[in-house]
Amino acid sequence: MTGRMLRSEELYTRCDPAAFAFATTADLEDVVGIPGQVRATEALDFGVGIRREGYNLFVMGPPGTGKHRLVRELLAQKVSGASRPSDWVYVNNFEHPHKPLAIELASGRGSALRDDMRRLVEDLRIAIPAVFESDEYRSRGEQIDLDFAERQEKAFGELGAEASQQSIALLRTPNGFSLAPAKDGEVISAEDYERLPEADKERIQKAIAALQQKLERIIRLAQQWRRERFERVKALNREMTLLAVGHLVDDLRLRYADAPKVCAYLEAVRQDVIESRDDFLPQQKSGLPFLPSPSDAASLRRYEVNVIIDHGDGNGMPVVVEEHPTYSNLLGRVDHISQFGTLMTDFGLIKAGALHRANGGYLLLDVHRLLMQPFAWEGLKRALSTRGIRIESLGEMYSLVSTVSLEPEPIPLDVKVVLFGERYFYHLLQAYDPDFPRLFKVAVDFDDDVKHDAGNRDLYARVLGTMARHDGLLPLEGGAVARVIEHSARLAGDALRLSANLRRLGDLAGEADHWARTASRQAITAVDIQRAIDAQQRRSDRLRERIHETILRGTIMIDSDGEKVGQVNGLSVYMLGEHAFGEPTRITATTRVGDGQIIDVQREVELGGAIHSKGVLILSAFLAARFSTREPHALSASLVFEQTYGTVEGDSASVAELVALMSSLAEVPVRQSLAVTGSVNQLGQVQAIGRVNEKIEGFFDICRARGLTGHQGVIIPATNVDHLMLRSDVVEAVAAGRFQVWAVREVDEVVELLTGMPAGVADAGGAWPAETVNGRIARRLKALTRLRQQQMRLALQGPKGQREAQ
Amino acid sequence: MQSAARRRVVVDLGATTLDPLALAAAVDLAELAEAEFAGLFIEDVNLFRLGALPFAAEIGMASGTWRPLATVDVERMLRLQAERLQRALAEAAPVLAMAWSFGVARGAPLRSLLAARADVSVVPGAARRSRVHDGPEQVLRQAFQRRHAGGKGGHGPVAVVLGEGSVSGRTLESARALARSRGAAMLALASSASGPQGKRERPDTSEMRMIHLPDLAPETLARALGNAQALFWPLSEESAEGAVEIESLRLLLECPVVLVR
Repeated sequence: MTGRMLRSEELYTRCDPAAFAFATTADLEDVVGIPGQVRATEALDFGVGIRREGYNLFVMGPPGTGKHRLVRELLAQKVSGASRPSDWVYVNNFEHPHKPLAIELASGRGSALRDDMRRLVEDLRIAIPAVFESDEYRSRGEQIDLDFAERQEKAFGELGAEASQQSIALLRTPNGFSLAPAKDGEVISAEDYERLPEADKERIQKAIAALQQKLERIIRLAQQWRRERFERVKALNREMTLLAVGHLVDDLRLRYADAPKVCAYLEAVRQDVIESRDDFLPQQKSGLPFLPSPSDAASLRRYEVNVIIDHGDGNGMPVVVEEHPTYSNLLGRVDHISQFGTLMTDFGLIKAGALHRANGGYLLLDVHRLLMQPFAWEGLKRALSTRGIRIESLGEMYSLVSTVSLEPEPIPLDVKVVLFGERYFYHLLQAYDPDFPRLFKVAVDFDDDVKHDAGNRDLYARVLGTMARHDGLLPLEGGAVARVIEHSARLAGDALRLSANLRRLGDLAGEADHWARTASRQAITAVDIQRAIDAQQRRSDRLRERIHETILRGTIMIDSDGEKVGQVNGLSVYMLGEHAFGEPTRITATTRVGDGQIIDVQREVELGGAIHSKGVLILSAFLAARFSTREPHALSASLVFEQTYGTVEGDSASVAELVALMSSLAEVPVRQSLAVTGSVNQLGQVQAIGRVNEKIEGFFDICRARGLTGHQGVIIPATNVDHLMLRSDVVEAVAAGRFQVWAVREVDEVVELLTGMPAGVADAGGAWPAETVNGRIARRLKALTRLRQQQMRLALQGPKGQREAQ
Repeated sequence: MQSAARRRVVVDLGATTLDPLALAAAVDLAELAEAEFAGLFIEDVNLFRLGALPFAAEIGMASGTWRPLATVDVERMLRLQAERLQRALAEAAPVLAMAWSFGVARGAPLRSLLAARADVSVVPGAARRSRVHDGPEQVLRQAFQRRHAGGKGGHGPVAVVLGEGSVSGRTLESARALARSRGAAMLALASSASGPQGKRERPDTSEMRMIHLPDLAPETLARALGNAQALFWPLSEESAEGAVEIESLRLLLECPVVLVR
């Protein structure tokens, strides 16, 4: 039960270039799709193909796995040759100008309608003035005026004559009419009036009163005649305008007979033109030079057609990628223009969003960017739920601004949205957004890595060949491909898997291409790949070197030889983005009599993560289960990650912590030439951990710097052996017997390797052999328990007992 | 605004007496003669007398309601109207690059007009005086704009009365100019009762259509003139009798009466 020392061949899985049947990747065909991502490809195929509500896609997986490329390739196949979706235009709503109308037209006809309407307005600007300058119009207008004038003249003339017979004058005043006594055609003065006999005065006043009533009736009649005249002139104007506009609009209606909404719009245009004929007549220029003239085209803007979606020159269904998915970039917006300090808008300032452009096709969005934009996610969901695009101003919605705005008619939405993002976004949205499962029913989950087998190796070779061709790189020799595949397994952290991060492999190939060209080679070789890997490592290696240096200088205390009680070399990993490296960490334990509590200093000072704390609690459970099945143990212990100043997370050091505890309890020293990594369960089984390669290399680098003795090494879980893809220098050192890598399954194997003492196996009665680590621990625990019991008894006896004890 | 030698064409711009035909004739004549257009706002004395009466009231043309009218109201209304018309004239006249003036007089409209210092007086026909037109300012602007746009005026002829006395050369010259400018025919009206001596004294009327009337009484003239655009009346002297004759004539005429001194 001492674990198994690994052979050098087990530390690295080579990819044999001889297995490739090509000289360079130039001999290989392009690959379509992403190697190994069968589940994702199937899901994508299904999601893109199904046209049912809510079957939008969430494409998830780590960055660099080719998600975008695969989706775009598949969509490109899907949309080519598909029928183009409709054009959409916004036009003025003549009844409710603040609610512009949306009209759907066959692809390419949106711009045709716009051009037709511009021509119509141009024609009307000629035809309408011509009609109103015609002799017919003038003559008919004069007839109306004359009729009105004559009726009025006759009425007032008759009244004037009647008044005159009674020596009363009908006078025009600046505002109307009046009646006054007159003599010889002139109004008599007030003095003359006063001198009149009372009878005359009475007669005059009666006559005036009677005439006033008649005058009042005539004025009422005149008002009615004026209204009639106005109506007749209006009717004439309408008739003449209709004459000009009628056939022009009818021609257009014929052209758009298959589009009822356009026909209805054209009818509204006809009515509006009839009511607004003055806009088409030559107008006087404004007196103020900076003011726009009413005859400017601005007054006729309402007949414009705002083509917000034009698929006239498109090719199949649209595939729209919105890189900046703000609320307005997604759902469109209504712009404003400043006129004399006031913000104005109209339907012509409606701007399309990505949803408009993608309508009838596909919209590709990055979920992280989408969620970062205020209201964008809510807006997208609302559009998908209602299957309509409603353009609303955020400022107005939240009463942030107060200005004229529009409520454009919503446009029906038929789009498939493809969201790209990390898995945690998917799971968070699934958990917290009840709309999400209803709207995004297709999960396209890209694997982080794929199976390392011959088929995928060949596919990777073709992928590399395709990348090289597309990116203008030199082709890769078989050896270079093999080295890339090995590196890919290393990136996957598993000899049996290959990393699906094609972007990193592409970067590696690109950098290797640079080195190959520098060396004037015609193809990329394994040497170039290795140089690129080393250069990448070197560029990211500053922090690792600094920590390494502090360890070698003794600032961070790590022993790599000798023996210490209660002190074990654990291994930890630093993650810096895509770069990771391992370093040893000293873990110490102290034990004493107490109430059975194990103090994890990291947790006490809140520098330990939840998983780390869980690992420590498991240690307590392990000790209790193994040594204290009959009575509680009276152990107090402290565990410390020495010289760590940040948060410690993960349970990969729990084996090391347990061994440190057991060493302290058993008072048996631990070898410092070995470092240990692995997590432990409460049954004492050692479990796999992550980043095993980096951890081994971290301790190896320290040992090598101090001089390899052949006794140094690392103990790892046996379940991590398949993950080993160690650096060549580590493999070579192991092959030369200058470094060891041990694989273990039980904590007792670690104890034996580190202490050199048998761990011991309990007999049928639960008793441990005396000179074993477990036996010593059991004995110590029993002693601590007795001591604790004695202390308790004395405490119960009070001060006298305590004195006796002293 | 005017040179000493410049002729003056005066027309009544009174709020109640402003007439589109008279105004158009005055504008045309002033421009043709390169004369000063003299707008005379006559405050009708009848309105002041009306305002002084104890029961004076006015009914609004637009509102159709009666309201009391006092002299002070009349004065205020006329003053405001004069100001508006002066502004309207100042805005309208520049389109013809014409010298213009604006004056205010108070009295009987015709007498005030005849009393004004002018070479040509355009007296509005009063047969249509009850006709309600657009606002006075609008009528004023239209007169200048029509001339500016080359408007020809009405359809009827321009008439000249060949009375007992001699017709001045200026009168004929003005009438011809107006007729040519408007593309109108010229009509010469003479009394068939005039003797051979009178005929000898008449000027050259070869380009005019001569009409002999039994007499030149206002009623006879009014019947004969029909839709004439303007009637040029020989103004021999400014006498009280002459004024009464013109007043009688204009009360029957629709077209303006042009008096050339």
